[in-house]
Amino acid sequence: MNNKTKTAIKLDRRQFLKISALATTSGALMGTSENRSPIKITNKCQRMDQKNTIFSRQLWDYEFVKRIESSIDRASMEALEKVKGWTPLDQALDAAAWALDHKFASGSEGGQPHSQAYEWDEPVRRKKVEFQNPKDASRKIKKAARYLGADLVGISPYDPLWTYSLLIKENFESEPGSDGKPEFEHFVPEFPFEPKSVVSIAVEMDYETMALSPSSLESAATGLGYSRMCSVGYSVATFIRALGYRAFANGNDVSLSIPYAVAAGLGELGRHGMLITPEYGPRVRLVKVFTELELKPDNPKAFGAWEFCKNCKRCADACPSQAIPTGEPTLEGKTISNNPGVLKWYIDPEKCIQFWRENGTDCANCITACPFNKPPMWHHQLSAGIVALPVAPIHTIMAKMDKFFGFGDVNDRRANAAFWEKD
Amino acid sequence: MSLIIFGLGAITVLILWGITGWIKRNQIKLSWPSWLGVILTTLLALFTVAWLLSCIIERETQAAGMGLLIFGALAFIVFGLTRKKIIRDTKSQAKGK
Ligand code: SF4
Ligand code: SF4
Repeated sequence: MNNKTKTAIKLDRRQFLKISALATTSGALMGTSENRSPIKITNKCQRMDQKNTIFSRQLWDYEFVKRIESSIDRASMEALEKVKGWTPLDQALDAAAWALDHKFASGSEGGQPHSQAYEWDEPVRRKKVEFQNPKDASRKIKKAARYLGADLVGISPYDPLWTYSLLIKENFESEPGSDGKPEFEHFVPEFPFEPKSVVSIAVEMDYETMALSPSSLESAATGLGYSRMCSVGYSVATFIRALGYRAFANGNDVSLSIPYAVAAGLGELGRHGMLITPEYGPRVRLVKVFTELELKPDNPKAFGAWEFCKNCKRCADACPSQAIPTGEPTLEGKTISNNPGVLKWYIDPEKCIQFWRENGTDCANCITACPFNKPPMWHHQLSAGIVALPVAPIHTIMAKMDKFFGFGDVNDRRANAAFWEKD
Repeated sequence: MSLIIFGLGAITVLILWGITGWIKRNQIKLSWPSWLGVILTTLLALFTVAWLLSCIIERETQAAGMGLLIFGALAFIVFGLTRKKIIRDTKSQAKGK
């Protein structure tokens, strides 16, 4: 199926699309369909059409885009340049951090499948390197991934449930129609090979600048994460291809990332709709490599985050758009960008993205405020050990203590101002 | 970080050296609750120092201050109780002699 349709309106692509992690999960699911997930998945859970993800709706959902555009106050956006965290100096750092991604993976950043560093059909070595068994292959792929820059790496079997049922891609080559609107393709994904395994890779985002959310400096942390995603993802896919097996990396395009990361034992799903890893909390970006090489999968790993979330609502309190629910997990969300059928907390990606537009850059308050977002120091690891205890009152106390101790503060203008003064 | 660990090790040695020396010099026999108090005070004091330094490294000043206040106060309370118990121990030992 190759369904060409006119798009309605085009948002500022970069601003609209940096929401990847949130949008992916909010529009998405959890766990895998092979009972490998600690999360409940019902029959209502179906493959999602990429068209409905929050970042792809810019291509066709005219009403939605208009609604968001109308909330922007241009005058205050211009005045923003004088605010610490949004000065031209801060914005220059932001631009530099995003530079590699914009050069080599700008398509995937916006959900464009099969583009740039994330193309599906790069050349493969003719003769295959043989491994003793899938376990041996997994060990070597993981070793290479870490060498190539992955902070965390895990493996799970390929599961078509997490691949979008239909992909959507803006057709940059075709001339815009008389109404000035570009065209897009809406098509069934047909990969050049049948993927067997998925290598999930997490790259850490910078703690110091992430803590300056929401601002251009925080956006730099996100941008650097995206740039590292494309570098590590492309390198790992190249490594596998150089072994003689077909492989390609994908980011925000093609499929959901979090279900694979959970299945591969990288972490758990949080209230804020993102992956929480034991090492960095939610302060990671995810890229995955699909390959035909058979690898030994890892097991999902619960370390207490899901249980902790039930008694902690710091992300919801820190969210300026009230996009994060405070209640119990449910089986469906409120927007078409939420895919129903999985028991989880469904964020409202429409509210989230609206705030981004009003804010003039993206936002990571929910990452910053999360008590799991800590640098790898002994005292945080000790707290993580306590958090892993399945005792609700301890979780409530720990969440309160975290705030009391001043961790995870957001909207900190003074910290933004102090950034360039520190060595 | 390795400097902190080295420093904490040095402080532990100094504290234990001081205590055992003091016990020997005064020929005191500590009861097990007093020993427990000594060990707990030492651990809490070390934890407070380690917390403080780690938070300073992270530039988390509020966490450093709160840690000093809470863990430091706890160490101080345990120290006070232990001191009281040791004084009582020594008094009863002196009476026994
Ligand atoms: S804090 Fe709220 S607005 Fe900000 S990124 Fe998270 S969900 Fe979106
Ligand atoms: S802030 Fe609290 S509730 Fe939100 S994801 Fe983190 S641990 Fe869960």
